Amino acid sequence: MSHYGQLQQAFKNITQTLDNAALCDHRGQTLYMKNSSAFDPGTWSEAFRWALKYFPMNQGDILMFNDPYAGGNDFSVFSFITCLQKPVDNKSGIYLGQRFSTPTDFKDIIHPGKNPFKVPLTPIAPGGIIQTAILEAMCSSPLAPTGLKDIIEKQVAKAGYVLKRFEVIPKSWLSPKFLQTFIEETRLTVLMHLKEKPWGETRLEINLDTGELIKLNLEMSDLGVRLDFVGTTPGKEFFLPPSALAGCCQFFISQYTGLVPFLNEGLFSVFQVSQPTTSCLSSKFPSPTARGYKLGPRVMGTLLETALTKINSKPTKGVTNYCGLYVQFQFPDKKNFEIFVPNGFGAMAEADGPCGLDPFNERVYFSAEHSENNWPLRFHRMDLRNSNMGKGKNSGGRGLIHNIEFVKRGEIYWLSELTQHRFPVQKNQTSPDKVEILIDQEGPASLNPSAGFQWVEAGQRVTLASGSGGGLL
Amino acid sequence: MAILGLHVGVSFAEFSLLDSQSHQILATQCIYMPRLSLKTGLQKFVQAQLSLNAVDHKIEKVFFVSNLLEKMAPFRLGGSTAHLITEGWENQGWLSQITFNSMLPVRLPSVQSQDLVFGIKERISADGEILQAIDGHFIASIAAKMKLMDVKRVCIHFLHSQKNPAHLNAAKNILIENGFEVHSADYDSDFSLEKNRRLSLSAALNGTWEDYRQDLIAAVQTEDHTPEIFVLSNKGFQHLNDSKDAVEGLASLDHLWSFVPHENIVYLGLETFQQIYPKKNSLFWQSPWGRLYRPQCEKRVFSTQPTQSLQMNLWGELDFSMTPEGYEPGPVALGRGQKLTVFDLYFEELILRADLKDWLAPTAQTKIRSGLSALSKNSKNHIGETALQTQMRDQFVQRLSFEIDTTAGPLHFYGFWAELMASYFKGVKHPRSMAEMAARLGMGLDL
Repeated sequence: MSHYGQLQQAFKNITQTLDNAALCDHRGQTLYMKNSSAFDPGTWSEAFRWALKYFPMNQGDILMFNDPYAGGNDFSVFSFITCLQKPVDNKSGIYLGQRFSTPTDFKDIIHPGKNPFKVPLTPIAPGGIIQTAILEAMCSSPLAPTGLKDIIEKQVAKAGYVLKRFEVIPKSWLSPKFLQTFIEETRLTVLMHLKEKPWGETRLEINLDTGELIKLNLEMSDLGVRLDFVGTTPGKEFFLPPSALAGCCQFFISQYTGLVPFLNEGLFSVFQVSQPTTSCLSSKFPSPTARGYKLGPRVMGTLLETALTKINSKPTKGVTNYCGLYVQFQFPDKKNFEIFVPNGFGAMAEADGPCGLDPFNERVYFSAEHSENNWPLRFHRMDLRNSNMGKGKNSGGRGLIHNIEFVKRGEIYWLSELTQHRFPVQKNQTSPDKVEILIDQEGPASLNPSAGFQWVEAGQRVTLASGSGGGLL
Repeated sequence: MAILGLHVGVSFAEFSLLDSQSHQILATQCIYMPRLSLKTGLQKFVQAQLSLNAVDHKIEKVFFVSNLLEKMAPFRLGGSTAHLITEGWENQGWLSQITFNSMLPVRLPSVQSQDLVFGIKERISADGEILQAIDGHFIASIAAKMKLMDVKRVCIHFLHSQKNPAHLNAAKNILIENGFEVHSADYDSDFSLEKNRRLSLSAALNGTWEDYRQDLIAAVQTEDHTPEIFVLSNKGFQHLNDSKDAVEGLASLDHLWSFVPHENIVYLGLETFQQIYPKKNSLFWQSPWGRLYRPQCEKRVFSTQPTQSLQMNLWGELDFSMTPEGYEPGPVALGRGQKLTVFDLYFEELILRADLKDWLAPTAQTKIRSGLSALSKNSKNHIGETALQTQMRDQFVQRLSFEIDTTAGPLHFYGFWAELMASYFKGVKHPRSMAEMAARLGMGLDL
């Protein structure tokens, strides 16, 4: 019988109600991961290790935390770890991880300094019953995000649901021996897949608009993938902890090489990631990580995709410079309104690159009527951007252009992917478009699209344009 | 007199004739539409009932439910439907949605032709105030252009037209005067993206739905009698003449569940397996064309389906394919497909089913055995084909057990496969076909 396929399917089904989930064994080895963000492969491993080291758990116990230096993502992301099966003799324990994101205030990203709302590993619900005293103490903090109580209650309820569903998995599949073989078999299968991919070594560096230089040596072989960030400079505004960097590397290379179905320790074990301890990719408390967590996946995505394309002697894809634009509108007495203007994608071997048509990647939906009913904004245009770059035999996908009028005075904050510098392209590739942002002030004035904020008067219009994908000659 | 319940799926259609007095089943039939069209099959069924010369077999009313909307996903839609939209929104995301399931985004099928989208200079604010008045002459010139392009239907998607329908009505009048069929959203929602997509899909499928309506009427009417036909909507059955919305007409099965008095339903239909929560409502439907506005009860389509093929998984084990093959060409047992599917694993039981045996190929059993034998040789543990068949059946049932949510209340199993599968699970098994349920709902009986 197909045990590994069945086990994977069982994990998938019991976590079907969770947006983001991970399962690990008693050693903290990841067994399954679902709908992960780019950081999750690295951060969950770290989080499970911390939790298992300091908190022996019984079945049904739930821990909560948001510390980015202990396996969390950004402070705005709350993580929960539930013991699904209590370990016997320090063996055979199974743990569930789940995450929930709260909105980030762009003010805190652009001007870090405010103390974040920090939750260290906390036993929030022993036996699945919420500790009311801890919950109320947390929610009474002025720094706590709105609706935190509701978030915690919902996540605890979801963990309880998974705990009930967990019983459908045959016990023999959860034995340490079986799970270790599952991980080992996955590792062997991953190595077999890697054998069929192009091997080689490449070097690449990119300058971030915030002043950091990221250098990468990538080596792929049938023995695994080695990523060395030696030469990367210390951080100025962009910081990522090592676990987040490892996660990004594992995530993007797994996607590129088609290894996503194997998101478990067997896959992660073939990666070797190293970075200088003083660099921005090895940040430690109290470096502000909000910008790194917000934009890191797209910076690393651009870097790793380009490096992997370079390993092929003749790239079969245009450059996808992840040059979308994150924008937040802030009005007094209104909840912040955030939109993302997505970029176009690099040209493909046989077709133009996909454009950034869908405003929200099918995950969050943008409705003009709904937005205008709730915020003093008027959306005049949402269209494909006309662009000159990213041309070739096959063109890069076009970015989007939004034209928005402020009905009342308000603030606009924006962030883009920190890679506005001319991007390294191969001979048969053309450069993609950059992000642009304009505000009408007696004629349009172009602003630095990397990051910034501005007060906008009622009646003024803002034009937001995301970048295109690169072309292929 | 008799009542006919009709359930039309993607590849199969079921008919169930009930006595209007005793509510007993008089006749049932299942047709495989790739081999026999719905119209011909239904005509034959009706004629067969008439030939019995029994008064109680004369069809008085027809109650129709269907779930054939997803059959339209592979087709390019909207060739004769134009769209008028507030200027600046001509290329908005509702035209065709992108999903990010893989490294590269995948574009979902479009519900319209980009050449037939016209931006109109008009603007109404969120308070209903007219910011830019519509120009009637411009609409008339667009109408003339659309006539040259053989446009039949026009959808109007003006922002905030629910708050102030002045522009919508002005454009509508001009277009109707010019002989166009006009569609506009009267959905009670401000989710414009989902509303627009829903409206576009309804308009794009309008011609198809009209053809089905004509086929239905032609199939059930006789020389001296035309039965009344009713289609299920979210408010109950409505007369076919009043059923103008193609999306509701072509996917009406979804509404049947909201009339079922249970909280947790597992629908193991001939074509699809899903879990339905009739007491939970959802505003949106994650359709093959992207998310669209459609209030209905919450459902979850299983990843375990009866037409999943047998293949090696990433670990080199014999497993089920990630996506179902569907019934066209379908399983080996139906004589058209070449890939072994879960359906084929149950051939011995299926051949005994009166409703299906006409469609199963007599030579299929030999082909299935040889297919299993070949798979067995390729798999890691070389077991015989009978042992392999048993093993794969067990694996399928186990996988189904992972999928079924038992926490939302006692389980109620419905559908064709319920008889075969439900014995493995704790729950109530309901033997009624969807066609019979449609007829019973139409007659106001318990489901």
